[in-house]
Amino acid sequence: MVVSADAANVTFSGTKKQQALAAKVFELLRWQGQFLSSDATIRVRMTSVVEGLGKHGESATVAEATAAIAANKAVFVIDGTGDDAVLMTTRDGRVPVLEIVPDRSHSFAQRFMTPLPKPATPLVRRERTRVDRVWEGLAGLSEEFAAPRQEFGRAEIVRREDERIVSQAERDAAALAASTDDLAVAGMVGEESDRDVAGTAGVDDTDEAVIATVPAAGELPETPVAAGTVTVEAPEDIASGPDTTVEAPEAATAAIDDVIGGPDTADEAALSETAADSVVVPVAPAPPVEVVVPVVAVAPPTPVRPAPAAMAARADLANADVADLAAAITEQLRGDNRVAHFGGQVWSEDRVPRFSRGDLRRIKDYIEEQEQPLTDTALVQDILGIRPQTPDFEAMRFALNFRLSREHRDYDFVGTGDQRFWSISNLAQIGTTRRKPNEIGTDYRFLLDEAPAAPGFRTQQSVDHVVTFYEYIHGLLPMDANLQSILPAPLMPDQRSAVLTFETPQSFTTYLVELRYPSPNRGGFILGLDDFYAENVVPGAILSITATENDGHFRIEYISQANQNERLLELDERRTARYVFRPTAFHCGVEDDYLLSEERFPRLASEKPLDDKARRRPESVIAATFERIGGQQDGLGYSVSFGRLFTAVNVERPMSERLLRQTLEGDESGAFAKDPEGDDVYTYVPSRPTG
Amino acid sequence: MATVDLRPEDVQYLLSILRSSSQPMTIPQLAEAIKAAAARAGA
Repeated sequence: MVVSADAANVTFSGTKKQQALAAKVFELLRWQGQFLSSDATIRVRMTSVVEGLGKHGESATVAEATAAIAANKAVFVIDGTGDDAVLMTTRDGRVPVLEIVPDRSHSFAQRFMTPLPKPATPLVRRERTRVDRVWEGLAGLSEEFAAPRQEFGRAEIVRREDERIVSQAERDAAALAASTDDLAVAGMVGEESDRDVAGTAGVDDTDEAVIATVPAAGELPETPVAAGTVTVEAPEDIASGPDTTVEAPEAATAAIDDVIGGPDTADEAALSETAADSVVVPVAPAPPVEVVVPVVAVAPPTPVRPAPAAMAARADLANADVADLAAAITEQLRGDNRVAHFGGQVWSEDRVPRFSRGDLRRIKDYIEEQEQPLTDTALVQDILGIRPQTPDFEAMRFALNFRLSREHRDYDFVGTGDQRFWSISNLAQIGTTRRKPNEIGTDYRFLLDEAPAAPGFRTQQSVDHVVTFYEYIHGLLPMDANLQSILPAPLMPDQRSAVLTFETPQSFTTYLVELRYPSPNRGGFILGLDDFYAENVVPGAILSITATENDGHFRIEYISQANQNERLLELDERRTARYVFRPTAFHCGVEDDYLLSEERFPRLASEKPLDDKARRRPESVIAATFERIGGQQDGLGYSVSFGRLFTAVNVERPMSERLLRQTLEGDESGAFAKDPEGDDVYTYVPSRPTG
Repeated sequence: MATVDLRPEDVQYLLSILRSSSQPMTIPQLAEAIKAAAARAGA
């Protein structure tokens, strides 16, 4: 449906011919202004109107058109004469209202172009902001070392020479000086000055301070007042004291001279001229100016920071090795509760920022919400809102770590030196739920016996490891001497675990894993590699683990190979747990002796995992493994090569080659024995004959 | 065992350094600072 706007209901006057002509003209102008608003002015030259009428078959002269228009003054208006005449109307058919030129005399642009005269500010001297020395940090510290020290070991902060208590008198004198200077130079146009007040340095005692009474700015006389209205009072004891030096501040004296129109008449003239050229300040008759001349205490120059005089005789400190000195400092500050320690850094405990209960609760809630341990960097940025570029970021990081380390009940430090993770107690465990971490630690107890006397942390850059079946199904790595050589030592004395990041360059994935440090009766291990194993490798795969510059971040890689298909052992847990062989495609390099294929271990199929009681004793597990994979010898026993036995034993429980060989060779029951005829073959004869 | 003997006044001086620092310091930094101070005082 097409909707068109109706023509305006306009009644034209004049003769019929004029009415018809006016209607045509109006229609022409409406067409011209069809996109304008109803009350916008439509302007068309009269010559164009006549020309337009001609094109629409309505021949009329300018005189006829003008007459018709003149007969309809309520509708049209003509502006100008002759060829410049312009016909105006609106789409409503009314004479347009002439535009009102807005008053722009007070517009924003106008105000910019004509700035106000400079305001006369009150003659109040602004206090200079002084930064406390304690905030100057190490830069200030190095300056202090350069200066000689009178005393050794002063803990209090010594004020610098330019740091002193400014008395009220000094402020008044300064205001007086500033005000009179301004009067003389700028004709009372206010200007704040930061100049130091001459002649008042070293005045610390308000008893000795100047009390200068001057008229207020608005009360100053318009013309200079006559001399002789100034009374100067000085305490007699000060003035007559034999050792007392009485000095009037030069600036203040000069200023007073300026105000009272002293002997320098040139200044007076200058003042009058300057005042005449600039803003005229009303000046009231001057009251008497009372000046108590200050006693300037000439204080000895304060040393920047007293140098430790006793240090002059400490050649042992100056010549000591930094490492020895650091060890001595560590030893000395270890138990000092005035010092905050964290991660090899120290700070004065009272300088470490504190956190409110609300801050601590928000940190806890945030970790709980993210469902994983978070680093101090993330917490400082996200919870405390401090950006890494800000100067106090490192200080807040230290504060967060130190303060959280004091909240033993709520927070656990699970980080490393370079990657400081914080966790809370009710966070879900990282890694497998098949076995509890304590049970896994017990399984790895043998690692404690095999650990070197002095554990070497981060002594190697990269290690290789072959994944066993037990490690595969639990997604873990044992913290044996090999792996320990690339792992970081615990940062805190009582730290039980550390969260690490394992990056897989081959799949562009980073895994959050948990390193459980060994305890007195449990071995150490890394949990949380379930997904990495399931997605990339099979039991028997060769892994390469590489340390990075960040002591909490590692790269884990496998050997990429063409796809292979084998029927490999798996643990089926759908109903009752059983070992099964399933066709598996994999593309990682494997150690052939470790591969649990159906071809090599066919009798493992449908075997049930051993119960926990049997699993606890290595002898039981070895015996069961002999029975599962060993070749029978005349119905008397089983015979298996050491390599096959090692691979199959690690299906049930972790066992190192050393532990396995020790158990086989140190068995007192005589069930296990080395086959003298075989090449590294062992035999097992059960107590009851097999059958 | 450290071979350098730190006296109580040394510890006081270390504390004053820590108190006037606007950032936490490492132990080696602290050792360098006190070593430099002793060297300047003896010069």
